[in-house]
Amino acid sequence: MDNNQLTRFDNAKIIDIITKIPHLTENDIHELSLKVASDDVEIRKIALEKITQSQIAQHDLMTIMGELTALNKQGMYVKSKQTIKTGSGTFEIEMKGGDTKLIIPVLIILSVVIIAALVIVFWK
Amino acid sequence: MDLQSNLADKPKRFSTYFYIENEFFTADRETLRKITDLYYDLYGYGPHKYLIDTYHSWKSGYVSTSGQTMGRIIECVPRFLSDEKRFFILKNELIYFIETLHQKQQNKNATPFEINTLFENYAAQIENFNQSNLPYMVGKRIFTSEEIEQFLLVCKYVLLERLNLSYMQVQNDLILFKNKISKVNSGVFKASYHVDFLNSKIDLSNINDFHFDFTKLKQQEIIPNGTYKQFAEQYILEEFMQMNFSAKEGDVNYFVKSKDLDFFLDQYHQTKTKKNEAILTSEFIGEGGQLYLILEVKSLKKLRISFAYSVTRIFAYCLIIAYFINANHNSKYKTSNQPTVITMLLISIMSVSYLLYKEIMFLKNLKLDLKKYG
Repeated sequence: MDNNQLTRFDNAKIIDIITKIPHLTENDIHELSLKVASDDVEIRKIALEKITQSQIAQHDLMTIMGELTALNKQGMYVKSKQTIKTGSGTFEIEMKGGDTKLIIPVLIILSVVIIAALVIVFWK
Repeated sequence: MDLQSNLADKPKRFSTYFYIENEFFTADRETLRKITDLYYDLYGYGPHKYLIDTYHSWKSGYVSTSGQTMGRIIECVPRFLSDEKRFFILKNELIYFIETLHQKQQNKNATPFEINTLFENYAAQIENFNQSNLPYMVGKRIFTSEEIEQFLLVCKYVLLERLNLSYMQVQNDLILFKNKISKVNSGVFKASYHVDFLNSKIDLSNINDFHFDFTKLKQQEIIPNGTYKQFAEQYILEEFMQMNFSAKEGDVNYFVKSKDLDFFLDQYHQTKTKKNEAILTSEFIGEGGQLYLILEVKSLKKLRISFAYSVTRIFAYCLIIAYFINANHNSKYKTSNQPTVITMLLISIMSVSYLLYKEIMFLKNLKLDLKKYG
């Protein structure tokens, strides 16, 4: 199975089965062949709809992610949740990120170290 | 009525009783005469007269037929139905019993190790299935046992073909997923796969540690024969047309799913490189079922900072415990109320020890996370 392209729909096998069945009149065979062709059209329609849906969803998500990245670069902390409907289902991304002013935790760590040192010094 | 729609849903059971009753009341004059003549031959003058006298009341609904009378009508009417209608009754009755077999194979939870067993067991059940429970139809001479057996073989053949198709589609879906997810660390994602045909769930969270070794299910040939050969062939053809459509639709779903999965994993990798935190959840409709996937991205920077915090807190707790222990032995703090002070010190030591223990557990989890997401 090739991931990168849809294989051509091969109806030879099913047409072969239809023609080999006895008791089918010419009219029956014709009707069944039409049904096979009609199913093909239906499948192609389904394929186009799903592929289009996926492409639209991917484009929309990439646009939003681009805007979020721009916000991150401006130094903002961003929290977002996106849900999109693709051709094969749904996709949800819950994200948070950005500049969280990391100097504050560094200061806190330094303070704790200083306090610990003071305790040791004045312990005696 | 076809097998696929029945296997998907749970429709009401076909009623031979109501079907034959309807045929009886809508029979043309000639057929009705033949039915009543047979009724006379089998049951005598009295029942026959009762049948003729009450027929119109039954037909209009003023009076309902008794069980005994209806049983007699069921014995007579099918002999004058066309082969097509008789086959219709046989088909619907047998499909009901095939459905009961199918329902028993549903709603299971399995691991990737058990996939082959799941399908092989079902195939074995199909092969051994003989419970059509239609001897009453043989007794009433509606069908012969050979006719029932022949069509049962046809139904089993069709069910086995559907099982084979589902198995092949599930294999394609799982192999595709394994190939795509192989670049992601185990433990970072949770995944499960719902097999449509079996309405069963397979846990795929450890798929990277598993090597698929699919077997081949038994396939059988069938040559319909007997009274209903033509109808059986028609039935097989209808089922094949549906399976052909399902297979093609599966191909489309496979292709679209592959593209969507690529995009999903691409978003995961991009989020990882941006050092953001994210939870990505998705469902994909594949060939033979639905894949549910949750991927988590954690910021390594935040994990490392949390690690540093945790180490600092552990150091601080150790210092505090050391201080309390020292205070307990230090004569400077001896007072008249020594037992109370000692008790309070001990309680303080135990509380801080508990906090220390929690902090060590937290640190262990952080270490695991760093290994997982690093």
